[in-house]
Amino acid sequence: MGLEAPLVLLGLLAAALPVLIHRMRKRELPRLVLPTFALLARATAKSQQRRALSDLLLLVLRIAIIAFACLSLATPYVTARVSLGDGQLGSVVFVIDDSLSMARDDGSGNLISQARARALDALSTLPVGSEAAIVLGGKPARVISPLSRDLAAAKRALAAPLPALRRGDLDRAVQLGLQQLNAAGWPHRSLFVLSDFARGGGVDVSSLSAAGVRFAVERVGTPPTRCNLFLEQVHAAADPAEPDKTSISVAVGSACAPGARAPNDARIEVTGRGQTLAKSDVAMQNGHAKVLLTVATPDPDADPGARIRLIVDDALAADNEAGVVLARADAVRVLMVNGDPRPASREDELYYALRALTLVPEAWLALSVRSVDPLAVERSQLRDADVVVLANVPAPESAFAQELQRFVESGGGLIVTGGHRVDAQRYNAVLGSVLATHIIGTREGADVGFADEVDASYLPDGILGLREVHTRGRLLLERGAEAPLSFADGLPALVTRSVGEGRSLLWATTIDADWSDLPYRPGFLPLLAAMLRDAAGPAAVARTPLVPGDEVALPWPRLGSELEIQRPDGKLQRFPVDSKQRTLRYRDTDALGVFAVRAISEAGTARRGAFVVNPPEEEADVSQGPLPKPEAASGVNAPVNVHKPLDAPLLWLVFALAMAEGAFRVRRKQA
Amino acid sequence: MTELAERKLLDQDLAERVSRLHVRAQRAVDGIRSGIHRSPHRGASMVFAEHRDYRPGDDLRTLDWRVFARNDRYTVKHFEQETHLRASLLLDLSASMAFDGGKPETEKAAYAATLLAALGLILLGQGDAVGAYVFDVDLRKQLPARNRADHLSSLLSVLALPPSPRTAAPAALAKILTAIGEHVGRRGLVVLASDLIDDSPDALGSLSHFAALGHEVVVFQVLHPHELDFPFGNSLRFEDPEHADAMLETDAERVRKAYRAELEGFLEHCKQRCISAGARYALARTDRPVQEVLASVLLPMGRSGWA
Repeated sequence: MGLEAPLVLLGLLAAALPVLIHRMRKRELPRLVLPTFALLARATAKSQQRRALSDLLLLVLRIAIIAFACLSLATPYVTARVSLGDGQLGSVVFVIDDSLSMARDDGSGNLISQARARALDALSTLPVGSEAAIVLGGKPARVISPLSRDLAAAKRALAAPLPALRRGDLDRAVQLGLQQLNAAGWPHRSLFVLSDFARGGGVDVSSLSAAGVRFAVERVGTPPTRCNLFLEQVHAAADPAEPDKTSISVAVGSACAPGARAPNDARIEVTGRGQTLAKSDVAMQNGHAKVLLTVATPDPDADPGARIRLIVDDALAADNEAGVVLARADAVRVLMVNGDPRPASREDELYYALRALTLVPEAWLALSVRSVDPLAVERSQLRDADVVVLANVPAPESAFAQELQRFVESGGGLIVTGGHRVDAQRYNAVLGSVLATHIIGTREGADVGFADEVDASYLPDGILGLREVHTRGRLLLERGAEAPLSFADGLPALVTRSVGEGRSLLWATTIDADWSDLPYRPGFLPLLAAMLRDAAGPAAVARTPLVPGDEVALPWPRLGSELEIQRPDGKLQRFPVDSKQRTLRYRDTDALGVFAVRAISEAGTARRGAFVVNPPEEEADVSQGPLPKPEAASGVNAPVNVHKPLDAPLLWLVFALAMAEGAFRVRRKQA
Repeated sequence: MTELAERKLLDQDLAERVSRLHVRAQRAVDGIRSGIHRSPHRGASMVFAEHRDYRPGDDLRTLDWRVFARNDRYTVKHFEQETHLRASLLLDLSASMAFDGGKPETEKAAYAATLLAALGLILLGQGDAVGAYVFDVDLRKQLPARNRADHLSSLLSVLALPPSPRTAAPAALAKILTAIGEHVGRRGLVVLASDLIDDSPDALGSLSHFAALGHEVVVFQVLHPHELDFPFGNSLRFEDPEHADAMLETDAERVRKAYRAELEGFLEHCKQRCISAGARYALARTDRPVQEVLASVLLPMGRSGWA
């Protein structure tokens, strides 16, 4: 501690001024002899004591104001040891790993808290005017506080809760940090990585190198001494033998530090709807175990979510929990009616479509597809379907058409595709009320492609993949309100419409190679999946577990007013319908368990869906990996002494004392 | 000195105004000459006192012959004897009475002296005997009661004494009044003019001694308007006239309300103490004409008794 301008301390002599003024004022008071002095003395006895005390306090305050003002002008400083840079103004990016392994508690609190405290500590040593940014290393890596001289903003960002649940993405986080440093205002640039550098995560040493940037890495936490058991896989499926039962298969894995043994007292517990549904002991063999539990399948209107808990005292508690959906069907049930069946032939109407749908990633859209001939379609089969596809099917009989109408109006999806078997007049007559639009007629012969403009919310990649499609025949469709895709001549290729609580789509051409070469094009699969997702509604929510930080596309409710999401932590989120978007890109997945989705229509009826966010398996190995040693990092961590000026806080103190003096004086006068 | 004092205390205007006032004792007083005041002894005045049966030794002149003619009983008729009054005027000239608030004409001591002088003038005019006792810490001067015509100048010269200068010794009202009580003698009128400021909590207790001796007691509490209204502003350094080392610095404006409350309490205490001691009490502001204060206590000529 020292003073930059010690001579200014001579001004402390001015602290005697209030005392002198006090004494002078005392002598200057006019004197008055009063015979009733005793009465006056009694009248002022109480207030006189208070006044004497307040006088003394005022005197002390005034002396303190002058003393601290002089002290602040003398520019005092303290010597601080800083870990980043040499105390000069600079730009620093803090990369904090918020992957799941950072949720481990090593006895000194969880690692993410330790990392935040360390970053705050380093942040506070930066001189005023320095720039700082905060980047999180959980996947996807993200900047939570851009590079700015507002160090308080960076501190606020660090103070916000950081659930460490994600996969690690430190390499990308470092890249983001370097991008921030590209806009740095100071030549002195540093990037400080705080992580446990667990074996499951880590950072590529080669990424820790950039011209003009000094890298510092610091491992947070001590090595784990216990094994970590984790839920390797959780799968629920309706029991084919007993439709009212759901089987849950749980695979437990372990990752142990050298010399540690996996605990044998683990248990699995399944809870849901406020009660324990099933439980079982876990017998670990060679670091693995499998448990099969059976629970009652909930009613369609009941909460389908269940919680799987691995009860064990291990290294990382955060990955001992997973969610599972106990639904009668674990995928969108698609009933495809084949209007031109030619078994084992490329000319079969569904030949390409069925093969393409087997390639749809489960994480994107889980499908359960059945195909039937038009003559074999039974009314009862509609009950077990979420989406019905009439692929080049002759117009159905009126009874089945009415059944179809009820199916769509009650929330089902209908996709009608073109072909030479589609009789426009007959379709309009029997299915007019449920079709997406009217079919004007059929046109064959002219070769036409798709227009470049496409609804981006329908096909995020745009026309790419459909650009080369040549169509020789098509249904001429009346323009509807929603036409996500059109032909180059302006006529609609796809028209969609909400009918009741359901959805109806009309595809102008065939889904085989009869009228177009669409099945040969790369855009065929995304287009088909997008149509099915649109038609399926909430049922199209991905059934494959996501991991925290993943984005999930949720279809908007049909004719609905809002989408409601009940998070595993009980928080309820509501999203009003955005008419421009067909899906909601939901990113707030930093919680483990079942996210229940409800699509609430204007009529107040709701359709349910759910998706699951489970801990990332690759973060289960929490044992410490090697600490990367960037070349430029040498010396950065060595603490150096710097002067931290104290004049600013002292001036604030003087200001506060002056305010207190003023307030006290006014109050004393009013008393 | 006598001429000067007389002029100072009693001017012609005041003398004329108070000449219309009349003092008559309500209690019976002892006197050796006949006068206008009721005597405890039966006498030959026109005021009927009582009838009682004749006893041997009674003056036969007091027999009521009319009653004897009517009832054939010897009955004695007694008349009250009227006597002259012996008044003692007590003037407090302690340091606190020197307060004039910056206006010499409102000095408390001068006002109290004028008040007693005017009363003395009235009493002497009625033929009553008037004496005076002037005191501060001790009895400073004593004038025996006389009813001679030239006694007024002696009285005025005693009352015109200046108040004591500021002293370290506070007034001891109770002690002084007890001492005076031993000098006052037989039943009569005792009039005290003082601000009644005293350190003792029961300074007025000795007033009851006067009443016990049969005296009729009148107390004029003389206070300056500044003491009553406390019209001061800003911060002042107040000093006690009777305690040289007592000093108090305060904002007069801020304490005015509390001071007035204390003062009212003090005045009420004095009044109650006087009443309980059988004395009559009157508050005299020094900015109020003396004749008004006297008129509020005395009756105009022609009516008997106090107001």
